[in-house]
Amino acid sequence: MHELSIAEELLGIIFENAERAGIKKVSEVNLRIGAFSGILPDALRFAFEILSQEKMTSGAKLNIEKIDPRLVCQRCMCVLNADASNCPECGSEEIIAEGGHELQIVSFTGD
Amino acid sequence: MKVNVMSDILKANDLLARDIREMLERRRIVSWNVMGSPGSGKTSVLEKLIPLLPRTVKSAVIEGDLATSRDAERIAKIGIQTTQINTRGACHLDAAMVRSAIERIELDNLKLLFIENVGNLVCPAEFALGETGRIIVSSITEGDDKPIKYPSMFKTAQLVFLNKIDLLEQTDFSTANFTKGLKRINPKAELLEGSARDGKGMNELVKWIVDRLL
Repeated sequence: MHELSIAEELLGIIFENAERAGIKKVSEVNLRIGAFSGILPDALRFAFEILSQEKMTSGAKLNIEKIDPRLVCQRCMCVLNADASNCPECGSEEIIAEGGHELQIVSFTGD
Repeated sequence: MKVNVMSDILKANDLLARDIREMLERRRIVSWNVMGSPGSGKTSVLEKLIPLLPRTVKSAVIEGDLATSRDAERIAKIGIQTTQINTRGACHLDAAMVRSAIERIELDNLKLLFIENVGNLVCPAEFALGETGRIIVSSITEGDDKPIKYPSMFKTAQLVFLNKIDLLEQTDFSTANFTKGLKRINPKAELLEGSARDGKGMNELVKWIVDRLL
């Protein structure tokens, strides 16, 4: 929802790390965004583009890896391949969705 | 050249929130992030609750709104320290805003800090403010399905205060449905109900707050 403030934070992290690494121009940024994070990739790209005008990230490509939550059976701890109300291994109904809320910057490339 | 960062984008906010929380804990101040829809009754609940607290429990309020200082003015009439944050368009408070607001508050002898967030059931959930815990004010007139429709908000609450129960008969609200929905999303959340307008349930709320002082 607040892709603009997130883009701002993201740029802050990139600038800080770029300065330390002596990078003057960023070409690519790699992100991991959870399916349940509420962040719309297109909106984030748009905000990133706007905020990057005349900055070292201007024109940089944003690669977004979508992270789905993992369905984990709480009884036998097996990870389900597909959504189901019962665990295919032990039949338990106690299935919890883990993850899916990631909002991470993995790496960026530049010189 | 590739730079590996591997960090949460919102870590800056989380770190600041952690600093705020540690500072408040060192001073034995309990802080509650009060959240809920616009008009759910957050300010009204605080207006009713604070005068009922024991005299020895000194409290202060940080008000968060997009615009106006109406809420802060209402609370200030009670005679306690109040400060207003105007987010000027931001839909939630964040730790940086709260840190600036705390600098305007005299913390000596303070036992309780209420941070009334912007009226919004979505965004504030993502932003830690350094609070001890979260109280959601939900109201009868919003319908009984809010917990299941807004899980990211409701699953972070320690307490849900169901407000405006004086209007129960004017609506189709089912307390049973609301309770069931809340239990599904957040089995650990406690639920109190009442009305800031006629005072029902406020004594129980006072007790809940006082029981959790440091």
